[in-house]
Amino acid sequence: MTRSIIPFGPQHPVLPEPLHLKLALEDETVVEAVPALGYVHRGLEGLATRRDYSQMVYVVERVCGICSCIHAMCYCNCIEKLMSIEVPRRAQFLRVIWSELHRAHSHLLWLGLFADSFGFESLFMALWRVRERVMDINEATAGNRVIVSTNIIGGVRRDLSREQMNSILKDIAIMEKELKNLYDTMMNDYSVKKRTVGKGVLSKEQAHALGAAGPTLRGSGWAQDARQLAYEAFDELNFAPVVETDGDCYSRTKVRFREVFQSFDLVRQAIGKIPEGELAAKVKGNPEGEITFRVEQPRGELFYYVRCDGSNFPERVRIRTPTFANIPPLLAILPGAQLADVPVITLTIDPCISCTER
Amino acid sequence: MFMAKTIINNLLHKYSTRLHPVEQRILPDGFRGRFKFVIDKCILCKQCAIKCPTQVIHIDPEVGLWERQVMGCLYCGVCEDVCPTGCITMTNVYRPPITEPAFLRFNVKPRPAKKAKSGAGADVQENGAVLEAIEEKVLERDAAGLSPSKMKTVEEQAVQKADAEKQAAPAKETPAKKSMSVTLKPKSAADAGKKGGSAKKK
Repeated sequence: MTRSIIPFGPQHPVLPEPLHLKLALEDETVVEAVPALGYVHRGLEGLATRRDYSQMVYVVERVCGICSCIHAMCYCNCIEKLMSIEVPRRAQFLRVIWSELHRAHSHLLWLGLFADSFGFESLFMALWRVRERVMDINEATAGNRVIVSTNIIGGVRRDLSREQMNSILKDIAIMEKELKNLYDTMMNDYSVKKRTVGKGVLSKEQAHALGAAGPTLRGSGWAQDARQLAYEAFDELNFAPVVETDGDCYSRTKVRFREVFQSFDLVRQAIGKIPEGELAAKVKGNPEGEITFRVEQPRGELFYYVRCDGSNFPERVRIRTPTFANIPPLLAILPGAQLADVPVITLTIDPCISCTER
Repeated sequence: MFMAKTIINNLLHKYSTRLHPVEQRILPDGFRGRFKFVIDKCILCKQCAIKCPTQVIHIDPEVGLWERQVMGCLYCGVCEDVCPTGCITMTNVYRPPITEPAFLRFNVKPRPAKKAKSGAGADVQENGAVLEAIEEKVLERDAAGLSPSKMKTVEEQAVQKADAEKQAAPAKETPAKKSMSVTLKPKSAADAGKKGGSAKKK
């Protein structure tokens, strides 16, 4: 049978990001997918070598538009480890609170877009209405809705008052109630199941061999989460990685939905255990040496490599984002899928191309 | 029957959305919104220019120039944090959109060179008098409605002023003796500025 090539993206109604795939089709079935990246490259790694350490925190936040706080947290951790700065305990808890709020709103954003990708628009709106509450929390506590800019080297810039924490707890309780309803709706709906169950199956062995990360990996049955490394305050918080075993679109959706609840639970735990104390440690001098650090982003494991030579600027900053790891699994699960399922399957790895290209 | 509950709920439910022009959203106090400059407090210490992540603030203490490239600003709020005199503050008002590269310029009293500072008492007195006048100025401005709730920040006023100037007499150039002015550079000039900036970095 003759093959035809269909371009998918970089501008596509369901894709929020400029991902371009060349799909080789036989009839309506995909036989091969070739990715093309490079539409939003901004040269942030190069810029990092021309900004000093404290300035760069605000620049790495712009690597990803959604999980900005987590990028800054990872970068700060690298520099703090190099300079052997002891971050105050309260600051570590505050970082956890903001990063978990980011994870929750990132997953809610994705769930909404995913619902939109198979045409369930009212669910999309319902999910984003819940997400709005998280954004409001960010706005009230950190001063901005997404790019919170709360991390600095040595700690955090803003504190949470008792009243703010109580209002966060109140909001979380409301959101959990609303999401519980939506969870039942989304996960038990006939048409949602029809579009997701058994589509784009990534087997356990494949997921490991291709180096998948984050919910894509956990949806295939691997209990691996970078938060288990107990960075920041995660050593005091109880949680277990959310794992589903089917490896299809449905189980990846389920992982993300359950992780929203997990994030809220972690915020609640962190607010319960947060100690009093300083917000930031004093920073003096310049770091020297090289270091790697990894944290768990909403999309998977985020990896930073920083090399410094004792001058004002880093010598090299390398950022490896989870979407970069998740593109090979995507290319493995696309062949065999119907053309109509391609948007749904592509979205289930939660592609963040701005992250990938930096 | 299944639907009945939902329908009744939806009918008796209050609005999910805001009736926008009538009902305005109240922004939280900590919101990093529009800047408010009490530029008379500025001592040209250059802290904001040094710490700015995008390096859009340019200060020349000898001439007394404080300049910000408005479009390059990230609104991260670092300048507010590092400002020792509280000259830069962020209000909880949405920031205005701009459509072309604009420069926000203030003419501050130039900082006297260190030798002059340790000079005669007469100079100090003079400075004292100036300071007093400046204080009044600030009070006047505050009375004129610079409080965050009034939505009129220096930035907006300055942009309006620039627009008015542009419309009135583009050819007639008046020396910038006012305490503040925004100049919207023509495109070629802005480009030249950019090139100069990038060349500097290199």
